[in-house]
Amino acid sequence: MGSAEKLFARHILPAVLAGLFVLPLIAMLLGSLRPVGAPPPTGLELIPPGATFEGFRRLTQLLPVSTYLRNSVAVTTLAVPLSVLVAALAGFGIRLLDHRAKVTAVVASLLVMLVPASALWATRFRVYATLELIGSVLPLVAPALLGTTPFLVLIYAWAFHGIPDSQLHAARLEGASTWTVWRRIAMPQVRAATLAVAVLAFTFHWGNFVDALLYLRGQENYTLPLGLDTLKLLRPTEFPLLLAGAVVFTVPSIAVFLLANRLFDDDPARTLRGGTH
Amino acid sequence: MTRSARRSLSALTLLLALVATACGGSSADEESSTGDPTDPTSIEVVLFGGPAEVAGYTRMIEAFEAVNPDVDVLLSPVAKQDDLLANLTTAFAGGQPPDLFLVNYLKYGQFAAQGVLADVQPYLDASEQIAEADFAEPSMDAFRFDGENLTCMPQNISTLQVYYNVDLFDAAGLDHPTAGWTWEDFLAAGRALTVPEDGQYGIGVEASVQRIAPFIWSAGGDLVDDQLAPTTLTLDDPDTRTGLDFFLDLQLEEGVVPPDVEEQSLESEERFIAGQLGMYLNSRKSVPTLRESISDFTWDVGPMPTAPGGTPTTVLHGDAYCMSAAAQPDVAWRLVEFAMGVEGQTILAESGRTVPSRLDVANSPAFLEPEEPPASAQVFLDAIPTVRSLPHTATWSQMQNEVDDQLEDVFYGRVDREEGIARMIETAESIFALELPQ
Repeated sequence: MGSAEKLFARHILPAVLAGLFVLPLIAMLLGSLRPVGAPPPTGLELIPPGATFEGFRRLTQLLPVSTYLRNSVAVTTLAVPLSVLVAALAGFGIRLLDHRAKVTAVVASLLVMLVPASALWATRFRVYATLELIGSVLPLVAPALLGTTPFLVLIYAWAFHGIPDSQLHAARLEGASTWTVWRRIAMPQVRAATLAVAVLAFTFHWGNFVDALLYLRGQENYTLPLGLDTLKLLRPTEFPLLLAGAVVFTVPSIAVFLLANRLFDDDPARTLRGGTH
Repeated sequence: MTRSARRSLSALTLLLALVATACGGSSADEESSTGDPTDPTSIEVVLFGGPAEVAGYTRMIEAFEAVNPDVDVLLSPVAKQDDLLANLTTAFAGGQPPDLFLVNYLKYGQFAAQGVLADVQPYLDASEQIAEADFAEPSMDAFRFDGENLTCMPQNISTLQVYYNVDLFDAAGLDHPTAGWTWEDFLAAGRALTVPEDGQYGIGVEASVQRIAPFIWSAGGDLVDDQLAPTTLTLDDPDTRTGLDFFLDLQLEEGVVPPDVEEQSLESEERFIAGQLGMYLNSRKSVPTLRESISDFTWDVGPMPTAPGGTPTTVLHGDAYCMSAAAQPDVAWRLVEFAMGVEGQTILAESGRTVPSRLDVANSPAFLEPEEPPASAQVFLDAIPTVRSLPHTATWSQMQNEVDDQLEDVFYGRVDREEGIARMIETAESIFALELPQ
C-alpha cells in the first residue's frame, strides 16, 4: 500500500465517516443554544447569534428533567449488566449443547425474534399487574431477565462458538466446573462481544419508549424517552427546547460509548480486527 | 393478607433491589373513599397534550386536591392521542385501566362498545354541582354512545373554522370572512391570494374526513348512511359529491391549496405563520401556536363558508372525560365534577387551546379574552347551534385512519378521483363490517 493510499485509508476516510455522524450532533448542540422564541434559522449558521443556555433552563422549568434522568439511569444501570449476564449465560449454554440441540435453540431464538413486540404488550401488562408492578420502573428492567432480546443471546452464542472444544475439554480435565469455565476461560475470550452486547442493551433500555408508555404511571416515574416525547408538540420557535432535550438525552449515550471503548481497548479498530486476547 | 399489605410487602422487596422506584398503579384497589386525609384514595388519570396543556391540567388537579385532601391524583400525561390509545387498550386488555382518561369523541367508541366505561349519565343526574343544562348540547350528543345516555363528560366544544391573514386580505381588497359568506367568496379569496411564484397560497387545509365533512353537509349531502350504525361512506351520492368535489377542486382544478411538494416542504400551519397563506382551516387548537408565533401581521378567525343555497355548518372537535367501570368511578366523578365546574373550566380556558363546553365560562372573558387574538373568538360560540358531529362508533377512528390516506392520494392527484373515491368506499365498508354487534 502506497503512503497516499495509507493516508486515505487510515485517516481521511475515517475522518469523513466520523464527520458524517458527528455533524448532526453538532447541529443539535448548536440548535439547543439558540435563543428561545427566535424564528428558526433559514440557512446554515456556525455559531447561533446570541447563543445562550436559556433553552436548558426553560426545559428544566417546563419538565422535571432530573427526575426523568434519574429514572432512566436507574433502569439502565440495572438492566444493562443483567442483560449481559443473562445473554452470556444463555449463549454459553447454547455453545455447550450438542449439534442438533444447538440448531434447535438457534432456530427457536430466531423464531422468537419474529414475534411482533405489540403482540406481547397486553400479556406482559397482565403479568406485571399480577405482580403489582404497574406504575413502577421495574417492568422496564424486566426484559433484561430474558437477555433483553434473543439477538443478544445469539451474539454470545456466535462468539463462544470461536472457542475450540479442546480448550473446554482441557479445562474440564483440570477439574474446572461449568461455572468456572464460563467465567475464567470463555468470558475473557469474548470481550468484544461483551462490549457489543452492553452497547446494544444500553441503546435498547435507554431509548425504550413503548414499555415506558405502557407500564409507567405518574410523571415522577417517567423515564427520559416518555417524559421528553411531549417536546415534539412544541412550536417551531421553541425548537431550542426540543434540541436541549435531545442533548440531555444524547450526552449520556455518547459518554457510555466512549467509556466502553476505553474500558475494553485503547484502539477499537484493533479490537475489531483481532479480538482482545 | 390484605391486598394493600401484600402490595406493601412486594413493594418493600422491590425497593431493596432498586433505589429509585416507587410503586404506583393503585387503580385496581378496591378501597373506598373514606374522606380521611391521612389515608388518601389514589386515582389514576391519563390524558394527552403538549407541555403547556399538561401544565394547565396539573394546575387544575392541584386546585382539586386542595379542596379534596382525601383524594390523591396520579397524573400520567402522554404527548399524542395515538400514544394514549396504545396505553389505554393495553391497560384495558391487561385488566388495570386508569380511573379517568381524556379522549376525542371519534375514539371513545371502541371502549364504549366493549362496555368497559362507566356511564356518566347517572352521576350527572345525581350531581348537585353541575347540571346537563350548563353545557353545550352538540358536544354532549357526540358522547351519547347509544344515542340517549351520556357515556363520557365532554370537556370542550372546539369546531373547524377559518383562520385568515387580515393583512393579506386587506392588501388584496377582500372582504373579511363573516357569517353568511359563501363558497364563491371563499374560492375567490383563495384565488386572489394565490401567488405560487412567491410560495404564497390562498387556502391551507389537510385532506381528511374531518375536513371534507362540513363542505359535504353544507351542500345538503351526508357522509354515512346511518349516523349511529354506519355501514358505508356515501361519497358517491350526488349531494355528497357536490361538497366533496368542491373540496377536491380546491387543489386539483383551482390550485389554491399548496401542492404536494410545497405542503411537504412547509406545512400549512407554518406557512400561515410565515405569512404565506391567506386562510388556514383548523380547530381552536391552533390558537396558542398562532398567538405565540405570529408577531408581524394581524390574524383573525372567521366561520366556515356556506354552500350555494346551503346551510351554514361546521364539524365538532371535542374531547371528554371517560371513567373506567372496573376502576373507581365514584372517586373519578368527583374530579370530573370539579373539572367541569366554573373553576376547573376557567383554569383550562386560560390555556387558550380549548373552547369550554361549559357555556357560562365559554361566554366569559376567560375564554373570549378581548385583549388577545383572534379578535373574533365569538365565531367559535356562534358556531355551536349549527355544529354537527361525525359518527362515534367503535370502528370509526380505524376507518378514518385508512380513508384519510386514500383521500390524501386523491387530493394531491396521486390517484384518479373516481378510482380513489371507489376505493375509499370499499375500505370504509370493509372496516365498518368489523363492528361489534351492540
